[in-house]
Amino acid sequence: MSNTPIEAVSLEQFSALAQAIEREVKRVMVGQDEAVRSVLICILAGRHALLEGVPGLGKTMLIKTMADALDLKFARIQFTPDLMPSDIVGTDILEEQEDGRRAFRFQAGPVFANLILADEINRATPKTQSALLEAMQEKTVTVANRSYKLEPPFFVLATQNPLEMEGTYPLPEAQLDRFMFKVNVSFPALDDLIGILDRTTGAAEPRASKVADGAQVIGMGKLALNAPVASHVTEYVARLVLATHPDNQSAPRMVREYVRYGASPRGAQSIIMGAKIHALLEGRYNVAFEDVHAVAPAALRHRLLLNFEGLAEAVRPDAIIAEVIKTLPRTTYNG
Amino acid sequence: MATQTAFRLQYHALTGAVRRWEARRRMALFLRWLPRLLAAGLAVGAGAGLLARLTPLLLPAEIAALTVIAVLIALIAGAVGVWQTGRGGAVVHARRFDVLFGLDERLSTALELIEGRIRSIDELTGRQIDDAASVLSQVNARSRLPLTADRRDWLIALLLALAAALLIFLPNPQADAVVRDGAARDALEDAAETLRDLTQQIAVDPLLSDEDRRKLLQALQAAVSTLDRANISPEEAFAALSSAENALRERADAQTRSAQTQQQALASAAAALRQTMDGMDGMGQSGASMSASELMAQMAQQMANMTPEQMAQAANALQQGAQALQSIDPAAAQAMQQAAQVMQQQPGQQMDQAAQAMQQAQSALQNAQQQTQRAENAAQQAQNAAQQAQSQAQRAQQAADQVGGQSNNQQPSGQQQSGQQSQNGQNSPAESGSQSGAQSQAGQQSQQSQSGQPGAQGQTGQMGEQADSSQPAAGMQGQSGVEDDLRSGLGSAGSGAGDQPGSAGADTAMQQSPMDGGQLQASNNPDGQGQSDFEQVYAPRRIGGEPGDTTIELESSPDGLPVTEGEFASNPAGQSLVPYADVFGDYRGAANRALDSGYVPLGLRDVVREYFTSLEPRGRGE
Repeated sequence: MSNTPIEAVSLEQFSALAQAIEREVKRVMVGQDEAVRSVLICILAGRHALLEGVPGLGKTMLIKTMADALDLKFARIQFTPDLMPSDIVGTDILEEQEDGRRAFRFQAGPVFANLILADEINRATPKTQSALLEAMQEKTVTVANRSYKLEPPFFVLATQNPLEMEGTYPLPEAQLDRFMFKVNVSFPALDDLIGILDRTTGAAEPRASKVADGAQVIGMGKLALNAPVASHVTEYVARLVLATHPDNQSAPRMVREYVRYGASPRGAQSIIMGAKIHALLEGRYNVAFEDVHAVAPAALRHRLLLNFEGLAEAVRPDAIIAEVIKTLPRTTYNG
Repeated sequence: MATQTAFRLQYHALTGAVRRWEARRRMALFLRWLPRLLAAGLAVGAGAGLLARLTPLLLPAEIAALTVIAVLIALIAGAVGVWQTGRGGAVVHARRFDVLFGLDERLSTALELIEGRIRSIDELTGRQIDDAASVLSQVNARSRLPLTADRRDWLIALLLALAAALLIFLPNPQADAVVRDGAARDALEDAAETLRDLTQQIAVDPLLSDEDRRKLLQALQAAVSTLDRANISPEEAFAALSSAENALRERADAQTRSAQTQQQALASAAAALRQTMDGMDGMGQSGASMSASELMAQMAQQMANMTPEQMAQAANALQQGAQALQSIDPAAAQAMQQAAQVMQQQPGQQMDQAAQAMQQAQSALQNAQQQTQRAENAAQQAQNAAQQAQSQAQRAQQAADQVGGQSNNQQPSGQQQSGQQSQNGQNSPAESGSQSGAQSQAGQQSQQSQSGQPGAQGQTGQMGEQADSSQPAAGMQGQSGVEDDLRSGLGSAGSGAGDQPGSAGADTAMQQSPMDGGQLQASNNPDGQGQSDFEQVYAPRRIGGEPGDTTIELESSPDGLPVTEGEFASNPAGQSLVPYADVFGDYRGAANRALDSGYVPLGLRDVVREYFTSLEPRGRGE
């Protein structure tokens, strides 16, 4: 496996590339600006995203379009109950060589790509899910005691259906925690829906042009992660995450009533990283509270484990996060 | 290096802007709070002014001072509070202005980057600081931090100032009561101080026995501890001072009696010696003012010239003097007795022994005279102490009267009568309730004014004077202000002396007696040591009638004089069936016992004595 070179990206280039990527994706995707922004943030941060939405809202289209806009190797894995781990990571196959000898040769699976679309990930068995999740965390694949490094950039953009259906295997919390964002793909508004109809029912199907390659994506990410964060903003993020824990003093009423476990430190990391990229995407060079508030729902909603009351009353994690943001003071002015 | 220098320059520019904004923010904050702070202080003043009109609390000047102090405290507290909000360094202020001006944390991030609190790559750092400086230059702090306050706040402060001024400077009917309360407090403090001084004097008084000292100190300390209580009422203070005065007075009386007894004994001895000396021929005349010891000395000098008969007379005189002194000074009596024996046994012989005995007797007499003098001095001191306690008790009584009078002024007219009774006599509720309202009012009216003006009430003696035109003029009977005090000693007998013709000697309790179905016992027997069983009657009840409130209204005759109602055929003249002169002594005796027993306050005893003096029968016809 060869390493993708990292291209230094200036702030001007970052801005231009980001705008180009969003523009290209939005040429295809209509009315999913927030989802596009969130997926882009995950890609630039080098993390993975989980997209959730009812079927037919364009989750797969969004990821495919993103792959089209980025000059990356794309692979799609349709998760089904009979999908085996080897179907994802690959397997050693017995191959007869020219000299007549037979030997095992590693046949790489679809995970050996830059951008993986794990479609309906919760339809596969936990064993198969864990094969992908190991690759997401370690960015390596081990087959027959041999490890294979995945080529950066490596992004997994998974989708899952929120509806309870037969034969689904919900992702465990530990595995959900490996996704930087959980992006809700909402139903488009009327105007957006009309736009979708206009663009997708004609003879010509719009496609996104490639505007950035892998090296640029990595360079953009490295630049964005250097964005400065004021100490009180960092403290605010820490307090925000702590406030999602019901046993914390600053936890609001909803957290105390409906949350069983709060967000992990990975959630705080995801917020900071996402906020940095969000700030640069907004044309700012520092992280503001607005950036934190913009990315906090996506970073925390899959990290809140509701208790029985929360599940019984169908409390939305987004409502809890909004309550935390509303009640938490931005700064304590204590130096 | 150049980058760092540029950052440093930008840092000064940023922090300078932050300092200016912070100063303006504090000023704007203080100005915004200024009317509220003023309103808070003025509200305190207005509240105090309002409270002072409901209850005797503060004088107008004190309320004004309180208002000023409250306003100053509010302003100082506001200034301190505003100053407290500005604590912290430039970064802290920058965080605040990021929020206030919507700078999206540009300013605080830039300052932290320059100060090295956070780090980034040079490109981002430079861009961020430039961005912050650029945004700062566009901030218009004057429009964002206007130096104004809400007009409604100013209006509220103005209204409160007006209300406070009106409440403070308009005449306050409670102000007089405040002055009286202050005087009462001062009187109580002075009384306590006086008692402390007396306690110290008594503790070191060598003329007192240990037992007497212990009793006196106990009484005084009890009075002092009572006076030192925080919420003591004037009545309680008066009672404590009266108790102390009683103890001092008893001691003074005992010492006075002892001194008088000694003085009389010495005078008797001196008279016997003087009579003997005056009867001797050739002995010259003794001075009328000469003391017994001086007479003894004169007798000793002339003993050599005495004839045997004169010696016998002198010895006899010495024996008489010895007998007179026996009760007060046995030593002096024995010395005189020995001298007399020497003169009787050996008349004309052994003159030396006789002279020596005479000298011893003279010395003993001098000692007795000195003791008598000391006893007189001690008695005088005790009298002075008792006088001081009495004076303080009178002041406390005056304070109680003033406070009581003030409280009476506040009572509705229907409650005036009971308040007057309680004030006058320090009575228990049962005592004060033993009279009907009309009778008590009438008594006060007659005492207050000889002219008998209807509707006017008054007090005499310690009571001070007050008038309440709301009280109706009812009844023509007179009643002393000390009648209630007398009742404690006289039982329910009472004694009324009215200014109006025909009302003298008519006792209010006696008038109640027939209405009370005969339950009033010993109403004409004041020898009950102040104890009498009677049923308190608050509402008149007709004989044979149903119990309950009955309003008795006297009809007026055509000439405007009230007429009595009832059957007086057996006594048409309305005279007492018992001659006044026969019963007066009983009443006066009961009053004197009441005075001696301490039931009557010291300050009112003279009033009682004068009252009975004025009631003394002038002839058999009374």
